[in-house]
Amino acid sequence: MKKLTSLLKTTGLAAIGGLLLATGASAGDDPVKEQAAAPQASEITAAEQTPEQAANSVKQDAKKKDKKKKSHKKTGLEKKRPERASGSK
Amino acid sequence: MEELLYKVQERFLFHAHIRIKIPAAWPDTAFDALYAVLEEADKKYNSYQPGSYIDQINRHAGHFVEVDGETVSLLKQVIALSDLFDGTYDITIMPLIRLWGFYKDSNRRVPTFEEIAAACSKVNYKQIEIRGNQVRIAPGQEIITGSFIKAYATDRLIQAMRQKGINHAIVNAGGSTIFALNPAGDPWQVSVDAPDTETALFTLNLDNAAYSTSSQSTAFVDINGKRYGHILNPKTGWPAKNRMTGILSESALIGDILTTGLFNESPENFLEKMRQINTRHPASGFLMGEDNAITATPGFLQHQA
Repeated sequence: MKKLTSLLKTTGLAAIGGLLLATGASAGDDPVKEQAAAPQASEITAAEQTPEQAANSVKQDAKKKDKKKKSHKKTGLEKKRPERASGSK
Repeated sequence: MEELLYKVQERFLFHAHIRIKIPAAWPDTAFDALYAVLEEADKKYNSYQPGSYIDQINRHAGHFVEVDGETVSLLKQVIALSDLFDGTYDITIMPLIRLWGFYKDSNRRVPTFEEIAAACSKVNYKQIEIRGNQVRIAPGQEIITGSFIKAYATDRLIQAMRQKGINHAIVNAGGSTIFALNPAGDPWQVSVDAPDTETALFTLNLDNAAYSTSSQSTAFVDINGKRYGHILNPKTGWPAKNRMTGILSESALIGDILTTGLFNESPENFLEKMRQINTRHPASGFLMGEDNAITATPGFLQHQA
């Protein structure tokens, strides 16, 4: 885990009240850098594929599929520890 | 001093695992009353729940529908918050969500530009009409509550916990909406995961506040090897390019709406919008761009553990 301020890299953005941070210096120890770049919507053209081709190639996020929709009504005991923030609405 | 123990339960609501953690002195039966608060909000106001007020509004698009006072209040709050953005947050975005195949696994393909334009023409929250306890959306419109209903329910739950005297607790609603209650000087901590890897990126102190996050990594469609995240730009109809947002605020509803509404912004615009929003709603946060660079407000840095 990294300390947020340890990753601080100031840029011109600081002049308008913000700070730009890099998420890591090396790909080896930075989990974020290991990920593929986000899709470039501007690169997409509808002419790239027919609907049939596209539909056939569609996959679903495996993690989403694997989510078990279970409720655990059994009460557990825990000490105070950090909660994990991840995912999306 | 001996470390306190907490009781914890997890139940599945709003398509998410909702964890509630309260001091161990409370009886197990307390959880039933707490989850009931969430269940009520889910049943009445979740657009995905058949028969909910929002579902009825959607099913009768073009006609006024009688709803309860809380639906009106909720919609007015969300509409007011939507006005903070320049169309980049819109709860009538459902036609685009369906078009891209983010609903019930249907029609997953890259839409044509004509299809996107047609869907975008139906997206405009300003066409939601409220007249007393009646609500009408335009024909072809559809409200989706996915970006805020879990947060709204969490805020209601926190209010109920305070009323019961539960003042040291944490609610983790699916990882993307977390609300902490704590005595002064004893904050909770939140470990913020990096997108995709779910490894810890940094840790925040959460002190009687909400932390909300949105990411393109956990909900996407993969078409011909390209990932298209579920957070769409209502103005363009295309998936947002940024990777993650995180917001600390006094209300989960505000936090969740900001994480979605600011998802399409450039770093410069993110900071400027946050500065403007802060004049009305105290909040701090960060944006992770497509290049993995994080832009954070100065206030956000003060909360790192």
